[in-house]
Amino acid sequence: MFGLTIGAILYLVSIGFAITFGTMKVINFAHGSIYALAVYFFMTSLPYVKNNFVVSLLIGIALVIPLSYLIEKYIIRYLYGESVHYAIIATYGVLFSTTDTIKWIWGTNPWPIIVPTRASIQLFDVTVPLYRIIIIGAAVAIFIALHLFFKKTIAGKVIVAALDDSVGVRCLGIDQFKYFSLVFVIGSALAGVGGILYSPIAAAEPYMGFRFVLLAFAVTLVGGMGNLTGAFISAFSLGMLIAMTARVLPRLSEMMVFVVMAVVLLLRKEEYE
Amino acid sequence: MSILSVNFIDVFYSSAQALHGVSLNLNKGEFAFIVGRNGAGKTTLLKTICGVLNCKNGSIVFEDREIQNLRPEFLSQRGIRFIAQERRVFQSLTVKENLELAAFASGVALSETIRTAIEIYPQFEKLLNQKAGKLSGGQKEILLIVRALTGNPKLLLIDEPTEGLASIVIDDIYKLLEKMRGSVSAIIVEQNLNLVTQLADRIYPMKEGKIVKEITDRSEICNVKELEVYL
Ligand SMILES: Nc1ncnc2c1ncn2[C@@H]1O[C@H](COP(=O)(O)OP(=O)(O)OP(=O)(O)O)[C@@H](O)[C@H]1O
Ligand SMILES: [Mg+2]
Repeated sequence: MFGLTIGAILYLVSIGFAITFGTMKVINFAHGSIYALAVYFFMTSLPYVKNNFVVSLLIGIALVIPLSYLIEKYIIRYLYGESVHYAIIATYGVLFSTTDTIKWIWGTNPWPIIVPTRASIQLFDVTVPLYRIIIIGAAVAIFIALHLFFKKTIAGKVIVAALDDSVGVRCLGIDQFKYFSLVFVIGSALAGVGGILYSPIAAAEPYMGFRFVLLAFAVTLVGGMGNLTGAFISAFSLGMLIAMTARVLPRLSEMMVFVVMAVVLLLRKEEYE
Repeated sequence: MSILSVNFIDVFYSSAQALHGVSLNLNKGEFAFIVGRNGAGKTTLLKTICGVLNCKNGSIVFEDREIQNLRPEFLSQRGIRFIAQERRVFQSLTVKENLELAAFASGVALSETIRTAIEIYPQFEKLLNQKAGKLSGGQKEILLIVRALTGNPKLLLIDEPTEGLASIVIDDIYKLLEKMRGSVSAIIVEQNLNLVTQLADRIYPMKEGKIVKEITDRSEICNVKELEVYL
């Protein structure tokens, strides 16, 4: 169950990263900034709304949406079609500056966040915390919603079409960047959702963005760049892997993810060349 | 009445110059053909007119306004549509969804676009829900033309519409182009001279990044033998 929860969180934080990577070919480490900031906004707003988890979550997400819009408009947009190196350098810069800003405003100590519900459910012979079921449910719901988005909405179809033939989309008279920025913002908001949902389990600290963006990177690579279903499967499998390793070798659990990533990369070497 | 004039444009791929002072003219309703060997710069010229590539010097005037270096999405809305040589449809989408995006972009009803598509190519009726990537080369080309025609554009730029296709399909495409005559202007890159002479109002042979001649005279257009030297 811990594995599924980690998998769900991994999915939520990776999917935005995977979409930007898959559709716009931009490696966006600034995704980690959004993830961390969402959590800090969330916990800062908690006392003001009588510790109402859902309201604070919405506030956290609402605050990172304009931020991610600005990041897309003033940084990412200049990276479309450029070499991935530029993207890595530029967005890593954003990640560094937000991490320092977080340290400056909120300090370096981790902030524990209370779990919104201590209720649990009896599933056969195990007791499962309700909160974890909510997290997993949220991941599955978002997976389905994203599928419908890409299959059924015009915005989703424009993105799929742009992946096939971006010049073709432009020559039909469609401004693809408008849709790219929409998807970018959706992805960022999901990273925020993932971060906030995970915070009661992990506690907030300034470097959380770094850790998670690297995991998101691994999930995306293992899932096959920008393959949405692949990212879902990869997130849950890696989540299980983390949980199982954590039981045997707690210190190595996150490292295992990168071992798998390395192996997958070696196996798929040709595809990426 | 002139719809398009290209005046002395220079186009570069990073530092390599691909077009050298290229000029051409097109009157409303005319079909101009560009012929020339591999690497002559035909594709580069079409891509520059539609805004996919930028030019360094010179100007492009469309309906009395300078349009060089404007973005393709904007020029498409103004009525310039480009169909690329690679024949890349939106392969992961269905035929219907391909039409849907064209209809959406031009603000036309999807049902109307589908009706036109079937009118032009009746087999599309059965293929609507098939992935466009699975169509044959000729069907893809026709789909691209239908897509480009959505919303009544003024100028079509078509890059080698018959390249690598079987002769029956080539006939279909040429009948389609013939039908479009009068309702739209076009610049078409084509290597098959028999087809060129059937439809051309003017021919621009290209060589090494330059247009070497402007052929508007009917008897010259029909003289396939003379044109062969450019291929
Ligand atoms: N993306 C590119 N980068 C650099 N050089 C290019 C690029 N595309 C084309 N060229 C060069 O520009 C010149 C003109 O190419 P272009 O594709 O316009 O020729 P073409 O007449 O369309 O040829 P073909 O008949 O093969 O389609 C060629 O020398 C080609 O090598
Ligand atoms: Mg060409």
